Amino acid sequence: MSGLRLRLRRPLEDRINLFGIVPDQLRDLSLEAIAALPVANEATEERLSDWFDVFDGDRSILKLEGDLSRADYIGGGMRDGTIELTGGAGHFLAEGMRGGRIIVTGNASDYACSDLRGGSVVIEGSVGRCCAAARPAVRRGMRGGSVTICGDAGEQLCTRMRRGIVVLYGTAEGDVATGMIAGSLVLHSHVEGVIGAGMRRGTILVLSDRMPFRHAGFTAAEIVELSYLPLLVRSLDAKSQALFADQLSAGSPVSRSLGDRAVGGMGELIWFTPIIKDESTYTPAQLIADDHEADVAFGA
Amino acid sequence: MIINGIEIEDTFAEAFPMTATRLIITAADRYWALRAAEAMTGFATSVIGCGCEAAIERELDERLSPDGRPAISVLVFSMSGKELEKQIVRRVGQCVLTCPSTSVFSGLTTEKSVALGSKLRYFGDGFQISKLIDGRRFWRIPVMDGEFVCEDSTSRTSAVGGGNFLVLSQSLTGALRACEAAMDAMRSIPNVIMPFPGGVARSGSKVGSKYKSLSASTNDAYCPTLRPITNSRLPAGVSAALEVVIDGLTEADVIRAMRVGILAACDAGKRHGLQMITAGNYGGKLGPFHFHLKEVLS
Repeated sequence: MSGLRLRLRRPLEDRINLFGIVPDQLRDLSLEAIAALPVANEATEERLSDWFDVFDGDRSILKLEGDLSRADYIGGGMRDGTIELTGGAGHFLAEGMRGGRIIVTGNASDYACSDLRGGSVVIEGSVGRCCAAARPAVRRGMRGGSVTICGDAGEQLCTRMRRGIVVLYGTAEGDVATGMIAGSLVLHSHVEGVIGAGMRRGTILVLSDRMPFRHAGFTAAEIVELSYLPLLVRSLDAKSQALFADQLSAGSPVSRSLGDRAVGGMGELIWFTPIIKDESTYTPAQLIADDHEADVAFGA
Repeated sequence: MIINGIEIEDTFAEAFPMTATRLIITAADRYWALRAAEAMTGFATSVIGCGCEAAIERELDERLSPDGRPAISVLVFSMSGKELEKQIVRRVGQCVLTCPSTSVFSGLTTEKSVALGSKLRYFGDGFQISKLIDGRRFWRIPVMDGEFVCEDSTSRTSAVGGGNFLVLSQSLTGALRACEAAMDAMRSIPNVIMPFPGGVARSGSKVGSKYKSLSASTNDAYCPTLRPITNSRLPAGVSAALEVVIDGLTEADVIRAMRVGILAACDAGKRHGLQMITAGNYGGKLGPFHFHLKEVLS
């Protein structure tokens, strides 16, 4: 059975706010009550039916049709059910969402999932700035759930992210995971910007074939075996699992760097490419031996 | 009732309510997973002296392993949730955390939580990392071989302890063969353990003792060497009795295990001198679960 459908009747000229237009809030409403739900836009408050044709269906699924790139707070406050968007989404996608699933066929704008707390969001296109990131003057970004971005991400991806899992298949603009508090970020592609500046805790797993650019506050890379990695991978989407099944088997060594030590952070940056020795590997014993050889050579 | 020429006594096994949890231990390979599981479930034959009853339930298929590695599930039974928590924290801390390459996960989900990793995490001395995946919290504790992954908590459920049947045979060898056959069949049954060594107890007990400090003592009615001087329940010709004790997550699990075990013993036992199957009880006055052998086998 197909879901409850809201089909955009005309292009959005002003931005509208769709917070609370979610399956768990619509489940017990009549079709008339749904059509009469208030929708705020920049100028006035209108009704849902002023913008959308409403077609009844399985109330656990809400289908939003049309170019919704100027519709903000889609999925806001959602606790259960599924939202499917055939077009794009505006700002603040999944604001305060605690459960359920959102699938965006197109792109999402800025601050997508910045206040996500549970459930899963899949964006088949790209996202704008500050995905999963804290807003200005807000301490924490995304607080739970999972986000999969099949396209690219704008600036400040995962800035001050607090919890949850973000998977990015494309590239990201600028720096990534700045001030990350905790959670996990999986990067399938190389990121040109700095990763993890000011990072406190959390895990960043880089699956590209190029070594990530580490912030200066990160330790030299070590080869380690992490029992946790198979658990993380098993929680990811099927595509991620299939791509790296061999590399991510338990016991496979990875390169790992800890930081940002400039803020006392214990976050981890993990990748699979062989480490390039970029620091001295002399041990104290080696230094003493070298000094002795020098003494002998110079007749000391 | 006669099965394969073996008499089944018209009696019942008396069992008791317990609380239980399941843990899943994984390791780099089967050898190390087994070592950890064996160590963790050692000295856990009876709550009387060991604090809990525990044993390996089964080896898991790779598809059921939380991290894709060789996995062993263990069941632990205790008389209270508090004691159960104390036992699993101590046993995992001393026997699984210490074993190379292991990780440990909850194998049961109920409303009643039992702390595990939340207690063990302090071994990480502040270097431990918490990870939340799909609503489950795991602790990554740095150790010398990498990291020990331990789930934050497990769950417990009401369970049944003390299901049993006794094997009465013409010889000790015969009784052993019959019990071994029973155990071979019972080991494939999920949700049950047979906590005694090899699954079999030779020292069945009765309530009470002539010594005031002891609450239980040898079950003299089934001791062949005491036949002439006690109220023996051993039929003529029987010179050895062994008891298979079963703990299970539900009554149905215990019944199933008893049935499978008794039938296997009867199937193998006749040629080894098996004469009778009976069960142990306390007159039905102590335990609320009564497993009548005829109903179990019907």
